[in-house]
Amino acid sequence: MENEERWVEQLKLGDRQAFQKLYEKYHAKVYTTAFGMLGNEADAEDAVQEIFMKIYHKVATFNSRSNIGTWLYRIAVNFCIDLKRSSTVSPSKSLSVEETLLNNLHDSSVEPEKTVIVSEVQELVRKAITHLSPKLRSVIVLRDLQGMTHMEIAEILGCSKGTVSSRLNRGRRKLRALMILAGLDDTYRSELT
Amino acid sequence: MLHFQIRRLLSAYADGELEKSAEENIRQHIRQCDSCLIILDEIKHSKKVISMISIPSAPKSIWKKVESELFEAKRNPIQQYASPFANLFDHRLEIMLSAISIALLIIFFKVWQFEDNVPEMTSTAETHISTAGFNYGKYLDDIAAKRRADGFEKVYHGKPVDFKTADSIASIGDFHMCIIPSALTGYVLEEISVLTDLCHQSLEIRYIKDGNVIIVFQQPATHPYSLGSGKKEVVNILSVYCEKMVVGDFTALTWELGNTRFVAIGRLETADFEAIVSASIMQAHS
Repeated sequence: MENEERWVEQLKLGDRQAFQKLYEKYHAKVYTTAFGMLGNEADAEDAVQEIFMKIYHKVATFNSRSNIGTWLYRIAVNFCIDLKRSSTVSPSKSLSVEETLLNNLHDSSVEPEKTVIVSEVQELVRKAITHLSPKLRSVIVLRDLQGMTHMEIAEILGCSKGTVSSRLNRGRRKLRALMILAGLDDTYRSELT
Repeated sequence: MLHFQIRRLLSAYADGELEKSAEENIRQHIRQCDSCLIILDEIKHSKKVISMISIPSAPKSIWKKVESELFEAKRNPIQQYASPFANLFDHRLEIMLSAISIALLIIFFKVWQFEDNVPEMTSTAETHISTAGFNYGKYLDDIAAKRRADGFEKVYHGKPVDFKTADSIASIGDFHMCIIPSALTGYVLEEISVLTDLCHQSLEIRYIKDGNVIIVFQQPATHPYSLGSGKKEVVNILSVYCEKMVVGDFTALTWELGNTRFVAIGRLETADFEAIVSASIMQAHS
């Protein structure tokens, strides 16, 4: 943590190496966050680039008493939410949940669940996450993809720990409902165990 | 713990985020409750499915793009964007907050001159609010009993507060706000959160001075636990007696309820009305 504080102070003075160190430490996690929030690699790449540009420009406003990671993740999450809202994300990079399922139905005589393999389930889950509202999506990504604690998530999102738990409840259950809507009911569990 | 309280904690339980006592409560409950066990199973399975998403590695090309964008610019990038007017779009938040701050200052100075006058509408509004009432049923009685057993009485400027009579709540549109001593926040949250959980409305807490807390929550008038038919009259009365000011896209309203003056600023015309609320507690009238 002390290194990070030094990097930030140096970055405020325009130190390029300090910025690179910060990038090397956080870029993978920021990419994971962006990938989870946006649902595809191309948009995640663009988002990471823009997020770090933003960090570089806004570092002067960073309060050194705060945690740099929290501040950084907050920028990343808010950027992804704004990006999704503005609909600049490429619209048809991946199929809708229903379209993917229908494409998997090769034969009406074949039961749908048998045609869906693990990778397709993962694709559906990724897509389903992007269908969640921004509030639910962000807690799901930060907790279930990034492995953060409820307290860390609460600090990033500026809400209470109870709110994080409540949103996780709703997000996970909605995700389950979306998967069932896509035709993936209990039978797909055997594919994943 | 009540049933719905258990359900709200199931994600925290699945994530190992609860204290031992709460964990044990839930463990005992799900031994006897099939519906909660099913929900817990859904949550655990969602977690597992999500964790199996394969995340590709961040490409190395990203850094090269960032580097060329930032460090091959003709001017120092930090200086290039130092001027707040260099890119107005990127600073729209700062501009909006500045406008709101100015509006707040203007309203504050404008209403200050009325400090010594208690408008007649206050008692009228309180009457209407008290007749509207909530319909929380037995749940509120249970919460009240628990609160008293713990030694707390809700107190609002010397008067007992009861959400059944809603005499501590001010409303504007679908947004309601109340002010309570912070020691009672947990109990109030329990009462309000059932609404937020059932209808997924927003709940926000803002702390103000002297250990008091403002809670702002959204609840549509059509909800079964709404304030009821009196609410429309309350809003009408508040609107008539409110100090009203328009600044750009924002409308600011100020009104008084009991000994508290509320200021709400928002875009009343849009569906997503977000109230930025501040309140000043007036001195007790002699």
